[in-house]
Amino acid sequence: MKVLVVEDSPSMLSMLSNIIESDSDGLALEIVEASSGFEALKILPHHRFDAVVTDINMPDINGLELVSFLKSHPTYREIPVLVVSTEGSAEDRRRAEALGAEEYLVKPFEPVDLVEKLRRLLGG
Amino acid sequence: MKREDQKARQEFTSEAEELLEALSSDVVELESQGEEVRPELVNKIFREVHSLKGLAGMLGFDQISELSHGLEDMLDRLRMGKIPINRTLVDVLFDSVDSLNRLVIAIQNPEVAGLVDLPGLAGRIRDLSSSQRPRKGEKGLDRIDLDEQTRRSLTEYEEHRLGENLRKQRSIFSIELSFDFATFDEKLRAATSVLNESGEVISTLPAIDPSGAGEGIAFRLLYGTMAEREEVERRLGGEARVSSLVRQPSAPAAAAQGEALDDEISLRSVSNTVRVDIARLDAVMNIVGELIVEKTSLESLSRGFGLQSERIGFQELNRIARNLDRKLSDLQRSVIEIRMVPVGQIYSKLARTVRKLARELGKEIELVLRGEETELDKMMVEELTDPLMHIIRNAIDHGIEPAAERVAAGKPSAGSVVLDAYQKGNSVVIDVSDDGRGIDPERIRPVALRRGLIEPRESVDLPRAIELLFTPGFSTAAAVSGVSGRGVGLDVVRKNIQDLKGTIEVMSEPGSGSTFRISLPITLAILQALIVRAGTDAYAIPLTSVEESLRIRPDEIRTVEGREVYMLRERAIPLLRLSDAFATESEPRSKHFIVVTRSGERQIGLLVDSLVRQQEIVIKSIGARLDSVPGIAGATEIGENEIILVVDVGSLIDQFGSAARGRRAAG
Repeated sequence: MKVLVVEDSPSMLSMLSNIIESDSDGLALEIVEASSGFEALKILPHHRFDAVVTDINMPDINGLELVSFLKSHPTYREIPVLVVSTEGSAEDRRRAEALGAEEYLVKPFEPVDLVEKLRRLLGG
Repeated sequence: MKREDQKARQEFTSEAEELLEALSSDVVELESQGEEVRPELVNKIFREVHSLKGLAGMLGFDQISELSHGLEDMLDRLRMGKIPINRTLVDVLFDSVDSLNRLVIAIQNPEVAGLVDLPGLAGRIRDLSSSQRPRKGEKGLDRIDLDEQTRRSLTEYEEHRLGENLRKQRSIFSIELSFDFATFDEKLRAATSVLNESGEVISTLPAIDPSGAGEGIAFRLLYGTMAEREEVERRLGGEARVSSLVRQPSAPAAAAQGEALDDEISLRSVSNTVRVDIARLDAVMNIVGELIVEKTSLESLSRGFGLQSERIGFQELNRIARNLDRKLSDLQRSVIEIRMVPVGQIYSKLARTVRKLARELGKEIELVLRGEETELDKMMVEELTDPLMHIIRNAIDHGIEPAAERVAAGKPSAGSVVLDAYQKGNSVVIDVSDDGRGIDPERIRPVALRRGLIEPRESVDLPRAIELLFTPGFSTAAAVSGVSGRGVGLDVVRKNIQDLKGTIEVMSEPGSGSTFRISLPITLAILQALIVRAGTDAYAIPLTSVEESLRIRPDEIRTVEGREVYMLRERAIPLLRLSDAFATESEPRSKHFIVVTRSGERQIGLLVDSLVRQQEIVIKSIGARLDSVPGIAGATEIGENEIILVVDVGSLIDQFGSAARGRRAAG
C-alpha cells in the first residue's frame, strides 16, 4: 500500500516517514514524500495512493487547500486523508473535517498514535 | 524515536539553523518595512516559528519548544491583526532569534543555555501578546460571493486577510488560471508575485483542469486589490479568467455609515479628530525616547565640561547636535504622517450624494472612484469635500446629457463621473472627469453677456469660456435647476482650493466631456520652497506657486503703461520687485533673477537679486500684528537661526496686479 506524506519541514518529513516505515509492522507500506503542496500535486497522478498524510501550514498551497482539491476531485476523492498539525488551531481542524479529511492528529504526538490513525484509514 | 535519535537530532539542528537564519533575515526585513508591513512577511515569520516549534516539540527540546510556542502565539495574534507591530515587538523578535540560536547551540554545548534568560523573554512575549489593538469593525465577509467549498478551504488566517482587504475597500477578485502540469509551479509562483506587487493573493485553491484532458491543472486565486478588473487581466497577460466577488463594488462603506444625508448640509465632517494607527504613535514615542537619550548625553557633557579636552568635548557636542537635528526631522515627519488620512474617507459621502442627485435629476450616473488610498492632510481632506461636491454636481447637472441625447450621440445611456486621486511629486492631484457634452463656449457666451461679464462684440473661445466659469457673478446654476450652485459659483471653489495652496485647472473636449484637475500640496505644514535674496533680506517662495526662474539683464526689463514687464515667450509678464513689495533697501544691480509665479490663472514675475536654494520649510505664524500684511504667509527658520518671511503669492498678486488683469486691460 502506498502513502503520500506532505510536509514542508525536511526533518519533520523524514521523521514522519521513519515512524510510518519502522513502526507500522505488518502493513508493508510504501512511502512517497512531497516537500510542498505543489510537489504533492505533481506526484499524485503518477501513483495510486491508499492514504495521504499532510501538514496544514505550508507555503504556496496549504494543507486545507490540498484537502479541498483531493476531496472534490473525481479520481482522488476516495483517498483517505490524515491531517497532521500543531495544536492551537482548533478552527483549522474543524475546517479540515468539514472539507472531508478523515483523521486529524495534533503535533507533538506519540509515534504509536500516528500509526494507529493511519492503520484505521487503511482499514487495517 | 530510539534508533533514529542521533540522526534526528542532527537533522533537527541543521534545519533549526536554517530556519533561524531565514527568521533572522525576515525580522530585519520586517524592521525595514516600518509601519507598512506586508502581511505575507508576517505570515512567513509565523510559519518559520511554527515549524521550529513543531520540530522541537516532537524531539523533546522543551526550552526551544516553549520559547517558540510563546512566540508563535504572539505572531499568530500579530498576523490576525489582534496586536500592533511596533519597536518593542521587533526588539523581542530579535532577542528571541538570539536566544533560540543559543538554545540550538546548547544541544551540543549545554553550558550556552545558561546565557539565555528564558523567563524574562517569556514575560516580555506575554506582555506583548496581551496588548490590545482596537477592533476595526465588521469584516463584511457576507458581501463576498464565495461558494461553500472555497469558503471552507480558507484557513482562519486567510479568512482574516480577506476581511482586512474588504475593510481597506479593496475589490476582491476570483482569478482562474490553468497551467500545464509540468510547469504549473513556476508559472503560478510568477503570476502570484506579479499580483502581489499591486495587491494581495489571499488564497490559492487547486482545482480540476476544466479542459478535462488531465494534462493540466487549474487554480482559483482569491485576490484583493485597488486595481480594476481590466488592469488585473492585463497584468496576467490575458490567460486568466478574472471576476469580481464583491456584491456592491461602489461605495461599500455607505451602508455602514448609516444615517440619511441631507443635501443641504455641508458634507464636511464635524469631527476634528484623526483616527491614528497605534503604530504611528509608537513611532513618535520611539523618537521621543531617542531624544531623551540625546538630552542625557548633553547633560553628561555639561557635567564633564572642562574635564575632557576641548577637542573631544567639541566633537561630542557636534555629534549630539547632528543627532538632535536628525531626530527632530524624524519627529516632524512622524507627526505629519499622523495628520494623513486616505482620500477614500470622503468618497463614500460623495457616492451617497451622487446617488441622491442622480435620482433627483432623473439621470443614470455611474460613479467610478479611484485612488482612495491616496493620503492627504486630514484638514485638507475636510476642506476638499465641499469643492469636490460642487464640481461633481456641475458635472451631473450640466456636463452629463439626458439619456436620449447621449444615446443619439452614440454614448452609453448612463453617464460616467470618475474621481481619481493620485500623488504626483509633492502634490496630490484629484481629477473629476465626466463623459458629458464638454464646455461649450456658445452656451457660456450668452450667459456671460447677460451678466455683463463681457462686451457684446467680444468673442468667446474655450479658454475664455473656462475663465468666465470661474468669474464671480457667473453662476447661473440656481436658475437652471436648483441643484448646482446654491448661490455659490466656481469662483468660490477656486478660492477654497487656493486657500489650501492648491490650483484648479479645467480641460474640456466638446462632445466628449470635461476634467477638473485639483492639485494640492500633500500637507500645509511642510512645503518645498525656493529661497531667494532681495535687498538685505531672504525670502521663501512656496514651490507650488513657482513656474520657472530665469536670469535677466536690467535692460531686458521694459515699461508698459507705467509698469515694469518682461517679455517671456512673446507674453508680457508684469514684474514686482520683491524688495519694493516689502519696502526693504536694495541697490541697483547688474543682473537680476525673475521667479515666475502663478496663482490660479494669474501670473507675476518676482524680481530678486539671487536664488539661494530649494529647501523644505515649516511655516510658522508670525502673530496677529503681521498676519494681515498682504503678501506674507508666515515665517520660517532656514537654519543657523535665520528667520525669513514666506511669500504668499496669491495675496501679492491681489495687491499688485497680475498678468491676467494686465492683459485684459491691454486687450
